[in-house]
Amino acid sequence: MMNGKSSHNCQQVMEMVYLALDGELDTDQMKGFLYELDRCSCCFDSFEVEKAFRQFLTSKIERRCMPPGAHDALKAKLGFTHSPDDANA
Amino acid sequence: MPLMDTLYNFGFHLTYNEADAQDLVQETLLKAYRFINSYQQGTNAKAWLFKILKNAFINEYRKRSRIPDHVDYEEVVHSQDNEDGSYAGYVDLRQEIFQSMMGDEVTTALNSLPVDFRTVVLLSDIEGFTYEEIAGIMDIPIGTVRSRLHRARNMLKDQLKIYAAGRGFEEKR
Repeated sequence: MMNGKSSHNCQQVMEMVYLALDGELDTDQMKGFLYELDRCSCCFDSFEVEKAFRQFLTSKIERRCMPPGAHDALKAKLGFTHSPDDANA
Repeated sequence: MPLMDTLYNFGFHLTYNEADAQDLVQETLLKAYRFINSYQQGTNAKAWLFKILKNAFINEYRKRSRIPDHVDYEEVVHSQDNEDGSYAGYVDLRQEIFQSMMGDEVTTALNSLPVDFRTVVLLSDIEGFTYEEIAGIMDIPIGTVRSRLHRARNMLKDQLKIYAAGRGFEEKR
């Protein structure tokens, strides 16, 4: 879908939004992407919304740690009974 | 072993079960130790361990009835996405109703996704792997990583919208 400005395609920019936020654009692609964002408030808003979604996920999804004692129990099972510091002693 | 908790977290989100997640970590580290010669120096060790864990999950746990069965991707794709792959719904997570959501609601939404969709979200958004690394971990082409991520995130947004609707949220766009 064209938004009326020359050679700006909102659909294509939206696809770039995902790539940009996933760190998949190289420096030149990023420059082009930022230029397109600057030209279109709709695309800029979509970028901000998607960025907020990623931050939301990162902050809200529960990160589970191994239960207390499980590290040592597992290390013992695996035969890793010494700590890395022991090697430097 | 700082990666133990990271591996455990991945295993937990795959199995929803603490004991199974611990078993996965144990099996992963045992295999890594046994097959250390197959690790290529200079490559991402974390990605290598995640691949071992993912394979262990498929081999040992997916066979069990408590893990969701094989996903019919075509069905999921057609039920969740517009044909042109356009942005499926506008969900502004900056709104207060979303920000007030608890972590377990979001985690439940994530866990409701089919396992292969859940996995790409975890690997990308939580663990920060690149498309190339995810492709290597999951043994799928990079293009599939990209499309699966896109679909998974849209599914997640839809799920979060459902939760928010239960709290009185109304879509305005």
